[in-house]
Amino acid sequence: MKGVARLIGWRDLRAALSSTSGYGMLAGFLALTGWSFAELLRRNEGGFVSAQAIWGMSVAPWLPFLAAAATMRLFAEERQTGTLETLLTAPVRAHDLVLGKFCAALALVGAGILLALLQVTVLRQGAPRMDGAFSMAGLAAAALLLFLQAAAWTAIGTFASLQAGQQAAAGVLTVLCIGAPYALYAGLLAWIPKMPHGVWRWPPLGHVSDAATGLFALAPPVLYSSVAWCVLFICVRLIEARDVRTR
Amino acid sequence: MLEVIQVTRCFGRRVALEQVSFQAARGDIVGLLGPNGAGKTTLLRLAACYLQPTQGVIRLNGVDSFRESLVFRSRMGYLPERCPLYDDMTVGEYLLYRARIKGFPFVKARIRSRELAEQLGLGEMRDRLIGTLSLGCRRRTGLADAVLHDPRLLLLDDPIANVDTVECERMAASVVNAARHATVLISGHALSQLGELCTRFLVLRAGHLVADVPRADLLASAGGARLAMEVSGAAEAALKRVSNLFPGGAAADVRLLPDGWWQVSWLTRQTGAVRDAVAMEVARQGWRLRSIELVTPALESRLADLVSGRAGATGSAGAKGDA
Repeated sequence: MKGVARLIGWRDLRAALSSTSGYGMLAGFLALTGWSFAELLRRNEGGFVSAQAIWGMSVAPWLPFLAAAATMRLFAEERQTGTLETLLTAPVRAHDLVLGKFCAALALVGAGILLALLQVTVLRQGAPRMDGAFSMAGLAAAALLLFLQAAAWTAIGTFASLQAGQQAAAGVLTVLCIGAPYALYAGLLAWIPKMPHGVWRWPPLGHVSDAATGLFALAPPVLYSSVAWCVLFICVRLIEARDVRTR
Repeated sequence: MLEVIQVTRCFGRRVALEQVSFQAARGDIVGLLGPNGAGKTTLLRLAACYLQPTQGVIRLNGVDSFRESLVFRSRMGYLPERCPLYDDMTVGEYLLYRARIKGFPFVKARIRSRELAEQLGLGEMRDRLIGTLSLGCRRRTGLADAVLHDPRLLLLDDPIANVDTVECERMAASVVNAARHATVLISGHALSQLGELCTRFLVLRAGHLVADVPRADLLASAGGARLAMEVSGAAEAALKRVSNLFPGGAAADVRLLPDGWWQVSWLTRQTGAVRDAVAMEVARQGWRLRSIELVTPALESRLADLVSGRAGATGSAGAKGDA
């Protein structure tokens, strides 16, 4: 990352970690993923789903919310406090600004995934029944795919923060933007008669589950990386054209 | 040279600025006056590249504010009205951060930020959190940020609102200092302070530029200003010779006060420069100076007339007269 982007990213990360909300956000995420993991493990007792796939599926649904919480302040807070004015009028390139802010938020979300991974490995030590069910390679593959998903969701959150007038609105917009395509897809399927229920699984869950069980296809990483780059590119163009909310 | 050419800015259907044109040279301190909602902040934001003009062009020494935005911004400093700063940083950290993102290498950024903090009286506050500063100190920190990179264009949005006289004078001194190598655009409502500071006034009303008046013209129409000082250790004839410092000469009114000090006053259309020249002459002659004051009683009311529209527009090219 270039100097100016690194400076902007570092400032944002520092601001997030100097407030209790940053730690609260990570703690909330860990509590929810921990609870989901225990619940899914309990329901799957005697089932065929691997423990690492269950871990991946317990983290993936909460990632959009963590991304929303980490990104909603990026531009929306700067707009509310007025510092966006000094930032956009400084001789800073739009891509440095977007990249710096995106990386700061992604570092937070990545830290959440890493902590969730740490949490499950610690849980594994204390739960002998899980021995043998865990594949560390599968866990790493699931974590990698989760990180790519996090990049896509964080990019969407960066865009939402750039467009929304308030932090809360940015958070809601992020979750809607991530959930809307699937809701549309599921809604369309509901119109088709006699459609089997299997298609109702949220695709990102399936991607993580597949990666965790050794089915690491190329399409999902390409999809998430493309989403991230495309959305960040749109953010850069919007800033360059000064086509963002200024108040 | 700042050129604002036929600039229009619309927010949806509302026209915030319409066909505004003017030019300002290096050394000009241009006061942007007008009632609330006249378009002063919008004009400054357009010149700061925060907003894009709906129509028209803004150039600084030939550099287009939109097409060559990065170059333009690297030569421009801007202090917004609300003086937004990061409250969780200390003054020193903030200035260092801003210097770094403005392209200074680390060592130079450190030197420059310290130097400016000292210059603007922020030296002792370098380790204080911005969130704990008074409004005046916040403004000074914002000004330090705006002038960090020695900009060729300095834009100040109402920098002297709600600050005390000392802060006001300190701010004015910084602006005059910056104007040595830059064009300064300063908006505000404090007519007496702006009247002292600015060399020219642009009056905006409902998004239109209705008057563009040099200070000298305004002062002439207001009957001039009175420069008065109290000195001792000088002869009356020598005091009268100080009048030679005034362009075209000015009659000195010399009186001996009961306590033995001389009170000397002149009527003049020049202001700050002449005051400084007189003060320097007093120092050179070794006289003791008790006070020196420039009084422009009618200037403020003339400005108020211009802003409220009671006076006829004394316009130059680009200004629309609305009588």
